[in-house]
Amino acid sequence: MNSFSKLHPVNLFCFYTFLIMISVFLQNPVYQCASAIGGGMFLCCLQGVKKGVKKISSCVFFGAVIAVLNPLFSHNGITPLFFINDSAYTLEALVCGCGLALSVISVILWFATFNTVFDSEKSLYLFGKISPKLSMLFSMVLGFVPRLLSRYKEILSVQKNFCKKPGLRLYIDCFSAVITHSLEDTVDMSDSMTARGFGSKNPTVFSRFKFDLRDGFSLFLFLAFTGTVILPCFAGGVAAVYYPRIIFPDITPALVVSYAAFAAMCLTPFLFEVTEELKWKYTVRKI
Amino acid sequence: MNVIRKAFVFALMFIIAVPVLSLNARAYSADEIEAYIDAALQYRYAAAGTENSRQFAEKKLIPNAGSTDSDWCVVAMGRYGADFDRNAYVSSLNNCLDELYSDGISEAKITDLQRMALAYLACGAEIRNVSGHNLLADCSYQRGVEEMSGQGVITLAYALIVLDSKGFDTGNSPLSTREEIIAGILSLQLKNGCFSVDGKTPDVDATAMTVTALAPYAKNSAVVKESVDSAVSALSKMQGEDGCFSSYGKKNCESTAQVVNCLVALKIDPEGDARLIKNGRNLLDAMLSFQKESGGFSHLLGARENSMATNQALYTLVGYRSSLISSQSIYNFSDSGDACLSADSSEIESKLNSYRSGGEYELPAGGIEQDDGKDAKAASSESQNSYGTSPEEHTSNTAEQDSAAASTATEATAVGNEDDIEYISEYKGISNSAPMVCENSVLQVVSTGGAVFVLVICYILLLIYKPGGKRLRSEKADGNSNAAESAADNTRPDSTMSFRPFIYSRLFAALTILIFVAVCCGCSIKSPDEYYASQTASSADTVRVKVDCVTALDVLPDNIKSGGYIPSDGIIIDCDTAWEDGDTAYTVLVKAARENKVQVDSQGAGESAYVRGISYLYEFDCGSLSGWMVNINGVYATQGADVSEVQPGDVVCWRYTCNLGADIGNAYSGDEE
Repeated sequence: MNSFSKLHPVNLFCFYTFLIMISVFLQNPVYQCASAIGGGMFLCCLQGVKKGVKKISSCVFFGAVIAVLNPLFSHNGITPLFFINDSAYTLEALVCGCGLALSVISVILWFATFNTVFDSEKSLYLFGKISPKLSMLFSMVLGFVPRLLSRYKEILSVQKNFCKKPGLRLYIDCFSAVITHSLEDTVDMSDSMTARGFGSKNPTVFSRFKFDLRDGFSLFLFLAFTGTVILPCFAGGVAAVYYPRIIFPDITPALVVSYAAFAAMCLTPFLFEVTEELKWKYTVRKI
Repeated sequence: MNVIRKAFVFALMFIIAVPVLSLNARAYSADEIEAYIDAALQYRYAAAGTENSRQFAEKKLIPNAGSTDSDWCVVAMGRYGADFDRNAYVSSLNNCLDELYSDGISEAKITDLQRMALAYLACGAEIRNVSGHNLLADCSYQRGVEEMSGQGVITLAYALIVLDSKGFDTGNSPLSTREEIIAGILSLQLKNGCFSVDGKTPDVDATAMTVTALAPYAKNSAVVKESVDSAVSALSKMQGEDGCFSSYGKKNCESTAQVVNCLVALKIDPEGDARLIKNGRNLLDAMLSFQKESGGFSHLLGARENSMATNQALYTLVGYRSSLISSQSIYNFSDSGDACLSADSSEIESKLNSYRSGGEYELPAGGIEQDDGKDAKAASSESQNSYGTSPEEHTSNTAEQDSAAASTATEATAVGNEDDIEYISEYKGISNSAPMVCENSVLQVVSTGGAVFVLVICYILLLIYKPGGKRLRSEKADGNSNAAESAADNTRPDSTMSFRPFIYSRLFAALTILIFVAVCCGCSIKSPDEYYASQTASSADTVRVKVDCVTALDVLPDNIKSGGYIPSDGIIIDCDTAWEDGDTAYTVLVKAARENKVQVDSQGAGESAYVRGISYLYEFDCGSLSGWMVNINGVYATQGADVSEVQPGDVVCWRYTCNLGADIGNAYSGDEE
């Protein structure tokens, strides 16, 4: 499973950085759509279709709220759909809201996969030499939230089944228990780390990551894709203008190539998973 | 094996590292061009409230025969073969012409005569005998070169065009011969290769129109060829980054269309010539970018449709189409399509020398400075206006000569086929030494396709690439154990975070519905029509509301400027609006804006009410210190706009500032709105 996360941490870090930067900063719905779709598919691969769809649908709902609310705050745009309290609710603001929502959705989805792909070991490897303390903190924070959630579920199931408590009371108790547990844990952890000599001297880092040909190749491809995506931006006319009139950039060959490159980049993790799965099935059948 | 594979991969990487993504501009087929023409015609029909060409001609063209708009439209429609009553148009033109002649032929009218001559030709009428007048002679060879050049180079160019339209002879005792006209044109060329309207400033339209007229003579006269060459390279330098051309500093449809015309005349492919492709956009791309959804063309990008722009684009497209399908250009009216043009090269040169040395008569450097400068400018710009754009027709002649010249050679020295071919190929190349255009575009397609193909291949390779058997096996083992682990994980209830999201709960649904209902009930929702129709109470007391952005006119952002939201004088609203008790500077603005259908974007109410934008011009659009400010009777408000009450007779002035109020006379800054 998850062959994409077996790429070198540097690759993964570059990939996520470029991808998220592009989906946030290039104000063009095509990029954001591609990014959101790619992120959603990869998420479904990692967490299973059922869970993935659930997460995506909640994201879409969140996005829809953003899109619908945006025109209430921005009345710019030449096509008023109707007037609420004598302020225009315009088509342009709605479309702009959709663009914003897509960009938010894509970022949420990619970060949801980031946790699985980029585990604490990788972050320690990447930043361990630069700043051991920061990378330690980073990995602890990354691990903290999932741990908190799993602990919450554990306690909840126990409480539900063994202590018959009335509705809201049950949840409040669970929450308080989880918080206490986590605080206790933190104290424990710091004690144990001090006992093992953390902070006394520069730690040595061991990692099992090796930058091989495949990594070089993929890093090169990521860079090439990013380059192809970004190049037309320097010529200008890539971003969509929403106000006061929606102007989508003219379709030029360079722009189409840029779209295609970005779509390919977004689908890369998904394709990795799929091909790995196929290879695996094929090999198993051969046996 | 491994080495070979590695080498292969590196070779591929190297190939991508030098990606030649010089993308090819788009090519248009005759059918596509036809679709664009039809769309533009449909726009004209619909704009006049008619459905087809006959009705359109009856309602719009025939009553206005002799006007710039109608004549050019008829040239385009006539050449395109649209169905309309040509005889009716001709008789209507006759009336107009009689009126002109009754006043006596004055200099200024020559431009009208030339334009009307082309309209006559497009209707299939004779121009050497129009109700007793020789229109051809009156607008070309029976005028002195001096007289015509006094009106600017464009008049000379059109004289030549009309003269060449059917390969007319200049008659027995012409005041000016073909050679003299050509030499007159050449003597007006500026040093940088351009031609100009006023004799000084290089002008795209004038250059393109002139080159159009000169084009057919370029191949057998070295002087003309040199002049045309330098004009084309000058045009290439004047082209904007997006392929458009500008006139008076503004990118516009007409200038771009004229350059297309001139290229067609020169037999240069406007789609393929690398000198005139900028950033992958060729001239036709550039010109068609002015076409609106309605089919009409706008003068400036993003502006409204404009009849002159539509006309010029229309006949340019018609000319381009006919050059594609029959290699006959828009100004070639000869039936057989082989009007042969000839001009004695040596005579042109000798005339030119005499003009330059001032031998025969004075043709000052600028040509027109003989008159009072302003008059000349006015006359020439008028003449340019009357043409709208220029025609050319000889273009096609050159090609036809290739095939038909030898057989017909009635009046002219046909040029040898070899010369023709050499001439044409020279023009088609990027430069004289570069490969031919067609080859060049094929190269571009191949390189683009190749680069994309290589990228795709690499991508697939990366996915299926096995980095050595050992690694794969160990990976598989990993995968196996991981899968087992994850299977085990899944049996545990708390393996991953999977909250039941809040949005699935009933409480949340109830809350959402509640909020929605509350919003619907608490707000007044009106359709735009209702909103603009709702009248404010009429009252005897009024308040004067002025909204202007004079300070920002020079620094408006492009999308605001081109959208036409701001009037050119910068005054958005200037009207009286009814006063009601309790009106504030803010409420009167909203009222006045509603009456004038101007957009206002504001937020908050009461003390915190803030106007962010009026008529799509927003705060910060013109720098970080820009925004809207209000003064009442010249005194800037020190409090919120929605709490500054106004009295009947007050003047409420909303002004746009680019410098926190300092540029609009607000002594103390910081109290916006």
